[in-house]
Amino acid sequence: MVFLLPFISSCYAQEHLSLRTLPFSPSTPEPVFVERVMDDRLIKSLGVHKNLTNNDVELFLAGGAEQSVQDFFNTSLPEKEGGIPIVISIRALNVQESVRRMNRGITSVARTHLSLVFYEMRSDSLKELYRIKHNEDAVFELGDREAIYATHEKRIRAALEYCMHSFLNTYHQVKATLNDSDFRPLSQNERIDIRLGDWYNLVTLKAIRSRYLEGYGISYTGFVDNSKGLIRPYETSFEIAWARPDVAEDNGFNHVNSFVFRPELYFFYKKLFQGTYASMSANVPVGFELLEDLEGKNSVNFVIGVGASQGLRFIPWRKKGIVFGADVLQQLETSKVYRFDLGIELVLGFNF
Amino acid sequence: MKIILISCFLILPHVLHAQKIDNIHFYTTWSLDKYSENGEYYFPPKKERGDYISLNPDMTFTSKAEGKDSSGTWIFNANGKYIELKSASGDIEKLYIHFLSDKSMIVTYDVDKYRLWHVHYVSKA
Repeated sequence: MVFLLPFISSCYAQEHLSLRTLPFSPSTPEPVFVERVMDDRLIKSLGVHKNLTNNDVELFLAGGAEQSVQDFFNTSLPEKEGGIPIVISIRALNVQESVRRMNRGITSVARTHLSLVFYEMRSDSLKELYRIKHNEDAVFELGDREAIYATHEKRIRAALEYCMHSFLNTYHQVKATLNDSDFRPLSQNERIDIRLGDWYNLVTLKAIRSRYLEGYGISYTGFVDNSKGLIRPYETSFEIAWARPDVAEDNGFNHVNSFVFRPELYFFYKKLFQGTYASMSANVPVGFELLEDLEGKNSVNFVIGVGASQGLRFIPWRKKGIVFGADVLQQLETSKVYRFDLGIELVLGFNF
Repeated sequence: MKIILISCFLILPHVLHAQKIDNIHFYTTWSLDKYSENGEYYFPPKKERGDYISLNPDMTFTSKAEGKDSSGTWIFNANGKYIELKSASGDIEKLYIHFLSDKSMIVTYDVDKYRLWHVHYVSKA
Protein backbone atom coordinates (compact mmCIF):
# COMPACT_ATOMS: atom_id res chain seq x y z
CA MET A 1 0.00 0.00 0.00
CA VAL A 2 2.73 2.41 1.00
CA PHE A 3 4.60 2.07 -2.24
CA LEU A 4 1.45 3.04 -4.12
CA LEU A 5 1.33 6.45 -2.47
CA PRO A 6 3.79 8.20 -4.80
CA PHE A 7 1.65 7.15 -7.75
CA ILE A 8 -1.52 8.44 -6.15
CA SER A 9 -0.06 11.76 -5.07
CA SER A 10 1.32 12.59 -8.48
CA CYS A 11 -1.00 12.34 -11.43
CA TYR A 12 0.95 14.67 -13.70
CA ALA A 13 3.70 13.93 -16.14
CA GLN A 14 7.11 14.94 -14.83
CA GLU A 15 9.60 17.25 -16.45
CA HIS A 16 13.08 17.93 -15.17
CA LEU A 17 14.94 21.23 -15.24
CA SER A 18 18.72 21.06 -15.40
CA LEU A 19 20.50 23.86 -13.62
CA ARG A 20 23.18 25.34 -15.82
CA THR A 21 26.36 26.00 -13.93
CA LEU A 22 27.26 29.62 -14.43
CA PRO A 23 29.86 30.42 -11.78
CA PHE A 24 29.52 33.59 -9.76
CA SER A 25 32.11 35.51 -7.78
CA PRO A 26 31.56 35.64 -4.05
CA SER A 27 31.95 39.25 -3.00
CA THR A 28 33.78 38.29 0.18
CA PRO A 29 36.86 36.12 0.43
CA GLU A 30 35.33 33.63 2.90
CA PRO A 31 36.85 30.19 2.31
CA VAL A 32 33.53 28.39 2.74
CA PHE A 33 32.31 25.49 0.64
CA VAL A 34 29.05 23.55 0.64
CA GLU A 35 29.68 20.15 2.11
CA ARG A 36 26.14 18.86 1.98
CA VAL A 37 22.66 19.94 0.91
CA MET A 38 19.54 18.55 2.57
CA ASP A 39 16.17 18.78 0.88
CA ASP A 40 13.76 19.30 3.79
CA ARG A 41 10.74 20.19 1.68
CA LEU A 42 7.54 18.24 2.27
CA ILE A 43 6.76 18.30 -1.44
CA LYS A 44 9.82 17.64 -3.53
CA SER A 45 8.54 19.09 -6.76
CA LEU A 46 8.89 22.68 -7.97
CA GLY A 47 5.18 22.91 -8.73
CA VAL A 48 2.70 22.02 -11.44
CA HIS A 49 2.69 24.26 -14.50
CA LYS A 50 1.79 24.19 -18.15
CA ASN A 51 4.70 23.22 -20.37
CA LEU A 52 5.36 24.45 -23.90
CA THR A 53 2.74 22.14 -25.37
CA ASN A 54 0.20 23.48 -22.85
CA ASN A 55 0.00 20.32 -20.75
CA ASP A 56 0.15 20.40 -16.97
CA VAL A 57 3.43 18.88 -15.83
CA GLU A 58 5.08 18.55 -12.45
CA LEU A 59 8.52 20.16 -12.50
CA PHE A 60 11.57 18.76 -10.71
CA LEU A 61 15.24 19.59 -10.66
CA ALA A 62 17.17 17.10 -12.73
CA GLY A 63 19.27 14.82 -10.53
CA GLY A 64 17.29 15.85 -7.44
CA ALA A 65 17.37 19.13 -5.59
CA GLU A 66 20.13 18.10 -3.19
CA GLN A 67 22.61 17.11 -5.87
CA SER A 68 21.85 19.90 -8.33
CA VAL A 69 22.02 22.64 -5.68
CA GLN A 70 25.28 21.22 -4.35
CA ASP A 71 26.76 21.04 -7.86
CA PHE A 72 25.64 24.59 -8.50
CA PHE A 73 27.41 25.94 -5.42
CA ASN A 74 30.51 23.79 -5.90
CA THR A 75 31.21 25.49 -9.23
CA SER A 76 31.56 28.87 -7.56
CA LEU A 77 32.77 27.81 -4.12
CA PRO A 78 35.16 24.91 -4.69
CA GLU A 79 36.44 23.04 -1.68
CA LYS A 80 39.76 24.45 -0.53
CA GLU A 81 42.26 23.27 2.00
CA GLY A 82 41.39 24.87 5.32
CA GLY A 83 37.98 25.85 4.02
CA ILE A 84 34.91 25.99 6.26
CA PRO A 85 32.32 23.31 5.42
CA ILE A 86 28.75 24.57 5.34
CA VAL A 87 25.57 22.49 5.32
CA ILE A 88 22.48 23.89 3.61
CA SER A 89 18.89 22.88 4.23
CA ILE A 90 16.32 23.65 1.55
CA ARG A 91 13.13 24.61 3.35
CA ALA A 92 11.24 25.84 0.30
CA LEU A 93 11.99 25.83 -3.40
CA ASN A 94 9.22 26.26 -5.92
CA VAL A 95 8.36 28.10 -9.10
CA GLN A 96 5.11 30.01 -9.55
CA GLU A 97 3.25 31.75 -12.32
CA SER A 98 0.52 34.36 -12.17
CA VAL A 99 -0.72 37.49 -13.86
CA ARG A 100 -0.77 41.03 -12.56
CA ARG A 101 -1.52 44.56 -13.49
CA MET A 102 1.30 46.73 -14.79
CA ASN A 103 0.74 50.41 -15.48
CA ARG A 104 -2.37 50.36 -17.70
CA GLY A 105 -2.02 46.81 -18.98
CA ILE A 106 -1.73 43.23 -17.78
CA THR A 107 1.44 41.16 -17.65
CA SER A 108 2.45 37.65 -16.73
CA VAL A 109 4.72 37.23 -13.73
CA ALA A 110 6.86 34.32 -12.66
CA ARG A 111 8.54 33.68 -9.34
CA THR A 112 11.05 31.38 -7.76
CA HIS A 113 10.52 31.20 -4.03
CA LEU A 114 13.47 29.90 -2.06
CA SER A 115 14.04 29.45 1.64
CA LEU A 116 17.43 28.22 2.87
CA VAL A 117 19.01 27.59 6.24
CA PHE A 118 22.81 27.59 6.52
CA TYR A 119 24.52 25.44 9.14
CA GLU A 120 28.05 24.88 10.31
CA MET A 121 29.34 21.81 12.09
CA ARG A 122 30.37 22.75 15.62
CA SER A 123 31.36 20.20 18.23
CA ASP A 124 29.72 17.37 16.30
CA SER A 125 26.35 19.02 15.86
CA LEU A 126 24.86 21.30 13.26
CA LYS A 127 24.61 24.91 14.42
CA GLU A 128 22.27 27.16 12.51
CA LEU A 129 24.08 30.26 11.24
CA TYR A 130 21.67 32.00 8.95
CA ARG A 131 18.26 31.67 7.39
CA ILE A 132 16.83 33.50 4.43
CA LYS A 133 13.69 33.58 2.31
CA HIS A 134 13.94 35.09 -1.11
CA ASN A 135 11.71 35.64 -4.13
CA GLU A 136 13.15 36.01 -7.58
CA ASP A 137 10.44 37.62 -9.71
CA ALA A 138 10.28 38.50 -13.39
CA VAL A 139 7.69 40.20 -15.59
CA PHE A 140 6.73 39.02 -19.07
CA GLU A 141 4.48 39.94 -21.90
CA LEU A 142 1.05 38.48 -21.11
CA GLY A 143 0.93 34.80 -21.96
CA ASP A 144 4.51 34.51 -23.19
CA ARG A 145 4.61 30.85 -22.17
CA GLU A 146 7.86 30.10 -23.92
CA ALA A 147 9.82 32.84 -22.16
CA ILE A 148 8.34 32.04 -18.74
CA TYR A 149 8.95 28.33 -19.06
CA ALA A 150 12.47 28.74 -20.42
CA THR A 151 13.55 31.06 -17.61
CA HIS A 152 12.31 29.18 -14.51
CA GLU A 153 15.72 27.54 -14.38
CA LYS A 154 17.49 30.88 -14.56
CA ARG A 155 15.45 32.32 -11.69
CA ILE A 156 16.27 29.28 -9.54
CA ARG A 157 19.99 29.91 -10.17
CA ALA A 158 19.58 33.62 -9.46
CA ALA A 159 17.75 32.87 -6.20
CA LEU A 160 20.41 30.39 -5.07
CA GLU A 161 23.15 32.88 -5.88
CA TYR A 162 21.29 35.68 -4.09
CA CYS A 163 20.93 33.65 -0.90
CA MET A 164 24.60 32.69 -0.95
CA HIS A 165 25.69 36.33 -1.41
CA SER A 166 23.48 37.36 1.50
CA PHE A 167 24.82 34.60 3.70
CA LEU A 168 28.46 35.37 2.85
CA ASN A 169 28.04 39.10 3.42
CA THR A 170 26.42 38.56 6.79
CA TYR A 171 28.83 35.81 7.77
CA HIS A 172 31.74 38.05 6.90
CA GLN A 173 30.42 40.84 9.07
CA VAL A 174 29.47 38.83 12.15
CA LYS A 175 31.87 35.91 12.07
CA ALA A 176 33.96 37.35 14.89
CA THR A 177 30.98 37.68 17.18
CA LEU A 178 29.68 34.16 16.55
CA ASN A 179 30.64 31.75 19.25
CA ASP A 180 29.02 28.76 20.81
CA SER A 181 28.17 30.26 24.16
CA ASP A 182 26.29 33.27 22.91
CA PHE A 183 24.83 32.02 19.69
CA ARG A 184 21.78 33.26 17.86
CA PRO A 185 21.20 32.43 14.22
CA LEU A 186 20.82 35.33 11.83
CA SER A 187 17.85 35.74 9.59
CA GLN A 188 16.84 37.96 6.76
CA ASN A 189 13.58 38.67 4.98
CA GLU A 190 11.46 36.53 7.24
CA ARG A 191 8.40 38.44 6.11
CA ILE A 192 8.00 38.09 2.39
CA ASP A 193 5.04 37.00 0.32
CA ILE A 194 5.79 33.41 -0.47
CA ARG A 195 3.00 33.07 -3.00
CA LEU A 196 2.10 35.11 -6.02
CA GLY A 197 -1.57 36.11 -5.76
CA ASP A 198 -4.23 34.36 -7.84
CA TRP A 199 -5.42 36.25 -10.88
CA TYR A 200 -9.18 36.55 -11.43
CA ASN A 201 -10.77 37.22 -14.82
CA LEU A 202 -14.35 38.47 -14.72
CA VAL A 203 -16.60 39.04 -17.70
CA THR A 204 -19.80 40.69 -16.59
CA LEU A 205 -22.94 42.17 -18.04
CA LYS A 206 -24.62 45.01 -16.27
CA ALA A 207 -28.09 46.47 -16.44
CA ILE A 208 -28.16 50.18 -15.75
CA ARG A 209 -31.11 52.23 -14.62
CA SER A 210 -30.76 55.84 -13.62
CA ARG A 211 -32.86 58.97 -13.37
CA TYR A 212 -32.40 59.71 -17.08
CA LEU A 213 -31.09 56.53 -18.72
CA GLU A 214 -31.49 52.83 -19.02
CA GLY A 215 -29.17 50.46 -20.79
CA TYR A 216 -26.68 47.62 -20.72
CA GLY A 217 -22.96 47.27 -20.50
CA ILE A 218 -20.26 44.63 -20.79
CA SER A 219 -17.05 44.69 -18.77
CA TYR A 220 -13.84 42.79 -18.47
CA THR A 221 -12.19 42.97 -15.03
CA GLY A 222 -8.88 41.39 -14.03
CA PHE A 223 -7.24 41.50 -10.63
CA VAL A 224 -4.79 39.80 -8.33
CA ASP A 225 -6.47 38.59 -5.17
CA ASN A 226 -5.11 40.04 -1.96
CA SER A 227 -6.58 39.84 1.53
CA LYS A 228 -4.63 42.82 2.80
CA GLY A 229 -4.88 46.36 1.53
CA LEU A 230 -6.56 47.63 -1.61
CA ILE A 231 -6.71 45.65 -4.83
CA ARG A 232 -6.26 47.63 -8.04
CA PRO A 233 -8.16 45.79 -10.77
CA TYR A 234 -7.76 46.36 -14.47
CA GLU A 235 -11.14 47.05 -16.05
CA THR A 236 -12.51 48.10 -19.37
CA SER A 237 -16.18 48.40 -20.21
CA PHE A 238 -18.54 49.44 -22.96
CA GLU A 239 -22.11 50.63 -22.45
CA ILE A 240 -25.12 51.24 -24.62
CA ALA A 241 -27.87 53.29 -23.02
CA TRP A 242 -30.89 55.26 -24.11
CA ALA A 243 -32.79 58.11 -22.53
CA ARG A 244 -36.05 57.01 -20.97
CA PRO A 245 -38.97 58.03 -23.26
CA ASP A 246 -40.36 60.83 -21.09
CA VAL A 247 -36.84 62.19 -20.50
CA ALA A 248 -36.12 62.34 -24.23
CA GLU A 249 -39.38 64.09 -25.00
CA ASP A 250 -38.97 66.61 -22.21
CA ASN A 251 -35.69 67.62 -23.83
CA GLY A 252 -37.14 67.85 -27.33
CA PHE A 253 -36.04 64.51 -28.75
CA ASN A 254 -37.70 61.35 -30.00
CA HIS A 255 -34.72 59.12 -29.23
CA VAL A 256 -31.41 59.55 -27.48
CA ASN A 257 -28.97 56.65 -27.64
CA SER A 258 -25.57 56.81 -26.03
CA PHE A 259 -22.47 54.67 -26.62
CA VAL A 260 -19.84 55.03 -23.97
CA PHE A 261 -16.44 53.58 -23.10
CA ARG A 262 -15.55 53.93 -19.48
CA PRO A 263 -11.80 53.93 -18.76
CA GLU A 264 -11.06 53.77 -15.07
CA LEU A 265 -9.20 56.61 -13.43
CA TYR A 266 -9.16 55.14 -9.95
CA PHE A 267 -10.60 51.73 -9.31
CA PHE A 268 -10.29 49.66 -6.15
CA TYR A 269 -11.56 46.45 -4.71
CA LYS A 270 -11.34 45.67 -1.02
CA LYS A 271 -11.70 42.06 0.00
CA LEU A 272 -14.22 41.93 2.84
CA PHE A 273 -14.08 38.15 3.25
CA GLN A 274 -13.61 35.13 1.00
CA GLY A 275 -15.60 35.70 -2.19
CA THR A 276 -16.91 39.15 -1.28
CA TYR A 277 -15.40 42.43 -2.42
CA ALA A 278 -16.37 46.05 -2.01
CA SER A 279 -15.69 48.14 -5.13
CA MET A 280 -15.11 51.83 -5.64
CA SER A 281 -14.46 53.56 -8.91
CA ALA A 282 -13.79 56.97 -10.38
CA ASN A 283 -13.93 56.94 -14.17
CA VAL A 284 -14.11 59.02 -17.32
CA PRO A 285 -17.00 58.08 -19.60
CA VAL A 286 -16.19 58.97 -23.22
CA GLY A 287 -18.42 58.39 -26.22
CA PHE A 288 -21.21 59.86 -28.26
CA GLU A 289 -24.99 60.28 -28.30
CA LEU A 290 -27.14 59.72 -31.36
CA LEU A 291 -30.06 62.13 -31.13
CA GLU A 292 -33.25 62.23 -33.11
CA ASP A 293 -35.30 65.37 -32.53
CA LEU A 294 -39.10 65.65 -32.70
CA GLU A 295 -38.94 66.51 -36.42
CA GLY A 296 -36.98 63.34 -37.12
CA LYS A 297 -33.61 65.04 -37.72
CA ASN A 298 -30.56 63.16 -36.52
CA SER A 299 -27.51 64.63 -34.87
CA VAL A 300 -24.46 63.40 -32.97
CA ASN A 301 -23.19 64.76 -29.68
CA PHE A 302 -19.77 63.95 -28.28
CA VAL A 303 -19.97 63.11 -24.57
CA ILE A 304 -17.32 63.13 -21.90
CA GLY A 305 -17.70 63.30 -18.17
CA VAL A 306 -16.68 62.05 -14.79
CA GLY A 307 -18.34 59.14 -13.07
CA ALA A 308 -18.17 57.35 -9.75
CA SER A 309 -19.63 54.14 -8.42
CA GLN A 310 -19.67 52.13 -5.22
CA GLY A 311 -20.81 48.56 -4.86
CA LEU A 312 -20.32 44.93 -3.96
CA ARG A 313 -19.14 41.90 -5.92
CA PHE A 314 -19.73 38.28 -4.95
CA ILE A 315 -17.44 35.64 -6.44
CA PRO A 316 -18.49 32.42 -4.67
CA TRP A 317 -16.28 30.04 -6.71
CA ARG A 318 -12.57 30.70 -6.88
CA LYS A 319 -11.60 28.89 -10.10
CA LYS A 320 -14.69 29.15 -12.30
CA GLY A 321 -18.21 30.22 -11.59
CA ILE A 322 -20.71 33.02 -11.51
CA VAL A 323 -20.17 36.56 -10.34
CA PHE A 324 -22.89 38.94 -9.26
CA GLY A 325 -23.14 42.32 -7.63
CA ALA A 326 -24.68 45.75 -7.58
CA ASP A 327 -23.44 49.34 -7.71
CA VAL A 328 -24.79 52.80 -7.14
CA LEU A 329 -23.46 55.31 -9.64
CA GLN A 330 -23.16 59.04 -10.03
CA GLN A 331 -22.05 60.88 -13.13
CA LEU A 332 -21.58 64.31 -14.59
CA GLU A 333 -21.63 64.35 -18.39
CA THR A 334 -21.87 66.65 -21.42
CA SER A 335 -25.12 64.96 -22.45
CA LYS A 336 -27.94 66.80 -24.24
CA VAL A 337 -30.48 65.42 -21.78
CA TYR A 338 -28.80 65.72 -18.40
CA ARG A 339 -25.86 67.14 -16.53
CA PHE A 340 -25.90 65.07 -13.35
CA ASP A 341 -27.29 61.57 -13.10
CA LEU A 342 -27.80 59.05 -10.30
CA GLY A 343 -28.59 55.40 -10.71
CA ILE A 344 -28.03 51.73 -9.96
CA GLU A 345 -26.37 48.89 -11.83
CA LEU A 346 -27.02 45.16 -11.45
CA VAL A 347 -24.06 43.01 -12.43
CA LEU A 348 -24.08 39.37 -13.52
CA GLY A 349 -21.29 37.42 -15.14
CA PHE A 350 -18.72 34.69 -14.68
CA ASN A 351 -15.14 34.31 -13.57
CA PHE A 352 -12.48 32.04 -15.05
CA MET B 1 -0.51 53.85 -26.06
CA LYS B 2 0.85 52.11 -22.97
CA ILE B 3 -1.10 48.96 -23.75
CA ILE B 4 0.41 48.86 -27.21
CA LEU B 5 3.85 49.32 -25.73
CA ILE B 6 3.27 46.54 -23.24
CA SER B 7 2.08 44.19 -25.92
CA CYS B 8 5.16 44.98 -27.98
CA PHE B 9 7.57 44.48 -25.14
CA LEU B 10 9.46 43.11 -23.11
CA ILE B 11 13.08 43.91 -23.37
CA LEU B 12 13.94 41.33 -20.79
CA PRO B 13 17.31 40.46 -19.38
CA HIS B 14 17.56 37.29 -21.42
CA VAL B 15 18.51 39.32 -24.49
CA LEU B 16 21.82 40.01 -22.81
CA HIS B 17 24.88 39.77 -24.96
CA ALA B 18 26.79 36.58 -24.48
CA GLN B 19 29.58 37.77 -22.27
CA LYS B 20 30.96 36.62 -18.97
CA ILE B 21 30.53 39.48 -16.56
CA ASP B 22 32.32 39.68 -13.26
CA ASN B 23 32.22 42.12 -10.36
CA ILE B 24 35.46 43.70 -11.54
CA HIS B 25 33.79 44.99 -14.72
CA PHE B 26 31.58 47.31 -12.67
CA TYR B 27 34.23 49.06 -10.58
CA THR B 28 33.89 52.64 -11.79
CA THR B 29 31.64 55.68 -11.71
CA TRP B 30 28.73 55.35 -14.10
CA SER B 31 27.22 58.68 -15.17
CA LEU B 32 23.65 58.82 -16.44
CA ASP B 33 23.85 59.55 -20.16
CA LYS B 34 20.44 58.98 -21.74
CA TYR B 35 17.28 56.90 -21.86
CA SER B 36 15.91 54.89 -24.73
CA GLU B 37 12.59 53.28 -25.50
CA ASN B 38 11.85 51.39 -28.70
CA GLY B 39 14.94 52.82 -30.38
CA GLU B 40 14.13 56.45 -29.53
CA TYR B 41 16.64 58.27 -27.35
CA TYR B 42 15.88 60.85 -24.70
CA PHE B 43 18.13 63.09 -22.68
CA PRO B 44 17.52 63.06 -18.96
CA PRO B 45 15.46 65.93 -17.59
CA LYS B 46 17.27 68.79 -15.91
CA LYS B 47 16.86 67.48 -12.36
CA GLU B 48 18.57 64.22 -13.35
CA ARG B 49 21.64 65.80 -14.97
CA GLY B 50 24.67 64.80 -12.96
CA ASP B 51 23.05 61.60 -11.68
CA TYR B 52 25.54 58.77 -11.26
CA ILE B 53 26.24 55.41 -9.60
CA SER B 54 29.73 54.76 -8.28
CA LEU B 55 30.37 51.05 -7.67
CA ASN B 56 33.40 50.42 -5.49
CA PRO B 57 35.56 47.27 -5.20
CA ASP B 58 34.71 46.98 -1.48
CA MET B 59 31.08 46.41 -2.59
CA THR B 60 29.89 49.81 -1.37
CA PHE B 61 28.32 52.37 -3.63
CA THR B 62 27.47 56.04 -3.73
CA SER B 63 24.89 57.44 -6.08
CA LYS B 64 22.90 60.49 -7.01
CA ALA B 65 19.36 60.08 -8.32
CA GLU B 66 17.25 63.13 -9.19
CA GLY B 67 19.82 65.17 -7.30
CA LYS B 68 19.51 63.10 -4.11
CA ASP B 69 22.60 61.41 -2.70
CA SER B 70 22.51 57.84 -1.50
CA SER B 71 25.01 55.21 -0.38
CA GLY B 72 25.05 51.57 0.68
CA THR B 73 26.19 48.17 -0.53
CA TRP B 74 25.82 46.39 -3.85
CA ILE B 75 26.00 42.86 -5.18
CA PHE B 76 26.15 41.53 -8.72
CA ASN B 77 24.03 38.44 -9.30
CA ALA B 78 25.71 36.70 -12.25
CA ASN B 79 22.97 34.11 -12.73
CA GLY B 80 20.18 36.67 -12.59
CA LYS B 81 22.24 39.25 -14.55
CA TYR B 82 21.39 42.07 -12.22
CA ILE B 83 22.90 44.44 -9.72
CA GLU B 84 21.17 45.00 -6.43
CA LEU B 85 21.78 48.29 -4.66
CA LYS B 86 20.87 48.29 -0.98
CA SER B 87 21.00 51.77 0.44
CA ALA B 88 21.82 52.61 4.04
CA SER B 89 18.17 53.59 4.51
CA GLY B 90 17.08 50.05 3.51
CA ASP B 91 15.80 50.82 0.00
CA ILE B 92 16.55 48.12 -2.55
CA GLU B 93 16.93 48.74 -6.28
CA LYS B 94 17.42 46.05 -8.88
CA LEU B 95 19.08 46.91 -12.19
CA TYR B 96 18.99 44.29 -14.95
CA ILE B 97 22.11 44.50 -17.08
CA HIS B 98 21.53 44.42 -20.84
CA PHE B 99 24.94 45.48 -22.01
CA LEU B 100 28.26 46.17 -20.37
CA SER B 101 31.58 47.36 -21.73
CA ASP B 102 34.43 49.44 -20.28
CA LYS B 103 32.71 52.65 -21.25
CA SER B 104 29.06 51.86 -21.38
CA MET B 105 26.38 50.10 -19.33
CA ILE B 106 22.73 49.69 -20.33
CA VAL B 107 20.28 48.67 -17.64
CA THR B 108 16.57 48.41 -16.89
CA TYR B 109 15.22 49.27 -13.47
CA ASP B 110 12.98 46.62 -11.94
CA VAL B 111 10.14 49.07 -11.34
CA ASP B 112 6.91 48.99 -13.36
CA LYS B 113 7.02 52.70 -14.11
CA TYR B 114 10.39 52.44 -15.87
CA ARG B 115 10.32 48.79 -16.97
CA LEU B 116 10.10 49.64 -20.66
CA TRP B 117 13.03 52.05 -20.54
CA HIS B 118 16.68 51.35 -21.17
CA VAL B 119 18.90 53.52 -19.03
CA HIS B 120 22.30 54.27 -20.51
CA TYR B 121 25.27 54.99 -18.27
CA VAL B 122 28.77 55.94 -19.42
CA SER B 123 32.07 55.67 -17.64
CA LYS B 124 34.53 58.49 -18.11
CA ALA B 125 37.36 56.65 -16.39
